[in-house]
Amino acid sequence: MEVKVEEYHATLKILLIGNSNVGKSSLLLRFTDDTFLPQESAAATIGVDFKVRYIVIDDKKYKLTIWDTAGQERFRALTSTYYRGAQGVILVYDVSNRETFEQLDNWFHELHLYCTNKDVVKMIVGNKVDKEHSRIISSKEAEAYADKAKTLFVECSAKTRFGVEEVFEKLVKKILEKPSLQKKIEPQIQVTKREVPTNTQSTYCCSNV
Amino acid sequence: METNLSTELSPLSQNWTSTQRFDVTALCVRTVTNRLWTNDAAELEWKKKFIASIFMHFAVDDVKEQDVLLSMPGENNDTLSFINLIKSNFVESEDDNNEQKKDIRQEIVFDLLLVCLGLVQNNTNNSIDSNHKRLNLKERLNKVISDVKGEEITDTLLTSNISTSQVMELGEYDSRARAILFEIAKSIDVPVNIILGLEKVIAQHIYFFQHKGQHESTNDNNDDEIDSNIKELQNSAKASLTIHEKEKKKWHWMATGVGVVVGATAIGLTGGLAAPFVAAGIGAITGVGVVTAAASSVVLVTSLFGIAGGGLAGYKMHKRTQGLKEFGFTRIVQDDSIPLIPSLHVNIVISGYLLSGSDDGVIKPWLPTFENTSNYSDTFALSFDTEIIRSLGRAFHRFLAEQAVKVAASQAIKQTVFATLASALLIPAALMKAGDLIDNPWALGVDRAHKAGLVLADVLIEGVQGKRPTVLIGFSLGALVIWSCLRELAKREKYGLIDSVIIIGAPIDSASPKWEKVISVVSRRFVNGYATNDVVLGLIYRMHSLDLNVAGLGAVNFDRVENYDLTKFTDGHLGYCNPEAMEAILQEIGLN
Repeated sequence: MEVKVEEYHATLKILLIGNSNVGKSSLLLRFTDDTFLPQESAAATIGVDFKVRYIVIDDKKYKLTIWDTAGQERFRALTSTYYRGAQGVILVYDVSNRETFEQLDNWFHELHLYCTNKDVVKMIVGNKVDKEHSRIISSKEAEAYADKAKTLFVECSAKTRFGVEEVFEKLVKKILEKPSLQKKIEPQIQVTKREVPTNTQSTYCCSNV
Repeated sequence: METNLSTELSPLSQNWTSTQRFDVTALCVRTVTNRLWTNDAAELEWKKKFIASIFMHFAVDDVKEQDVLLSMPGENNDTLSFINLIKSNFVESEDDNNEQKKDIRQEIVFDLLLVCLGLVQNNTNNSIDSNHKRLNLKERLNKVISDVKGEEITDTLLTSNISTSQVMELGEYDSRARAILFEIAKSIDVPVNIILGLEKVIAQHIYFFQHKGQHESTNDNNDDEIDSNIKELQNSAKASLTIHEKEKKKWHWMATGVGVVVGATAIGLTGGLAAPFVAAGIGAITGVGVVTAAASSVVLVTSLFGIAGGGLAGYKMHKRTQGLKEFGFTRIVQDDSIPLIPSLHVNIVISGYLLSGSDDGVIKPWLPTFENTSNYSDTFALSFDTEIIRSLGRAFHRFLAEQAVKVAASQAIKQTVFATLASALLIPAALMKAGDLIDNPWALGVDRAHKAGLVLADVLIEGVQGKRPTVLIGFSLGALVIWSCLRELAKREKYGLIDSVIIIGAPIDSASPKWEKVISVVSRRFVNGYATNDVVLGLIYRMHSLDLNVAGLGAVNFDRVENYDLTKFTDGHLGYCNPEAMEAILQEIGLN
């Protein structure tokens, strides 16, 4: 059994929050799998879903563990545990839905309530910019809000891929700038026993009769 | 911001009207009474418990009302109209008094899941509605059922005095309860992924609740009362751990029911007794400030997930035994940065032969399906006597390389359905000679698969997997392990353990009279996957057995068996260990 040694500089925990239906799971799916599910076939997240992706910043590889939380009110009472140990939090709203933008206040409230680390990097993300014709929140308005809240701000579209990489790159770069978040980061080596024989195919083609 | 398990997992039915609660109860009683597995005394006893839990949970506590429900006729033509009548009361609509009703169907499934987990709440205090509406409903019900008076099925339940029956045990998720849950959900058009989602959310809640408690234990207040409560809890948690410590010694139990292997087979623990999850959990409970729910959550967690915390991986057979040398589980895990949240059911997957030199063939075929999927569930790969099943894989290869086999195979493929080609008595001499190659490893493999099945039955009866419904999936000899396990469970009348079974390329006589008993221990789905181009199975099985019908080659015609023709996914028996093929196969069958 071969052993594959995978080296990466650190693991970062990132949390996605925001109203239901703003596209948190779609944004994540675009980032991790580069796919997009049309509205009809996308189901509401229940509880919390997890995704992992590696990202390279300044020639160093980082492992992102992303927690995709349900936007619905129900079953949110244990949310506080989700925030524990998070280095970055992404607050998502829908640029074509004012309510989801106004609710950011509530999400900030929850964030400040539960987030143990005061230096946690926050980012506001306006999703669905592909719906330019039905846009209600202008970039200017959101930018002003983000300035006031002292957070990062990016607009993106999970559907068209626009801005999605920027969301995570910008966030991770900011996390790496913060010494207090850095302290917890130690180089790690992941040893997986999951060998991938280079010649897998030959193993199976013999099953031909 | 205090949170406890009981409010988090509190029933949603409290907010329904009493009419709605009555209707849900009616639907449950109806579904339970109509569902038959073995229809014996033990099953009746279990149904009584289930219905008693339903009555308590939905606060149908009037004996007369209970009688009305229990005297509903069993299965008849009215089933559909009955369900439609009931259902109209759950979906979004305006009723006669122009009162807006919201769709409560998902809430129904959630509450039933609580009942299934033994988290039954006595709702009596909350039934504040007037009885007026209910009476109307009774009239309606009576109208629906007045035409038919076939009361035999429920008669026994009616006379068995439900009100004194026990309710479902806390933290014991019986596979029959899960089957009922799926059936009810289907009848009110709630999709399966909603059930799976709710199972996931409850599992996550139990997990995060414990971790939350653990972290908050440091800044609890010093209220005397809470202190003493905590002390009490610590004691009970300690006691619980001590009991299991004692059981640790007992774990070196003999595999009593295993006739063939008996004597030398002992299954012991190789890893630590309590897996990290449960250990953390118990620690957390002792520290948590809110105490009302904590005591029950010790029971919930230790029982449901097993004290080994889904630690099948911790078990390995020690001793060399007569026959079986190796028996163990490998856990298929998610990425190590993702919290290891246990699921409310367990999958056990079994490969029937190994083609490569390493042992990874035991888990590899299953990885694309079960590793890092967003709907993760605890999955363990069972390995048994890998040396023998590897030599079988090698023998398969050599066998297929023989000229006589190649000729026979091409014939077989021409005829598409192999069953018509050769009977066991008409195998050409050259083929028989080729068959010699495989004789010994095959006979050995069959023997070990049978024994591994018996040990697996013991492991499941002992509850090593926790009291959670188990799904068994296996191909080739792996299917035989499952078959042998199910026969043993049937023999020992252990119902309520197995949720679903998927056997693929099974070397099992598809006309065997044993099927009925074997199916009876499976609460929900029984899937047989076959391929008509499975030359290996076709030739070998016939050389070794006089039976002409093999489950792995064609449909099995017994009640409740779902047959899937998998010919398009594989080029023969050895195609099943290809991970991509297996992923496509399980996708086709559907893991739900």
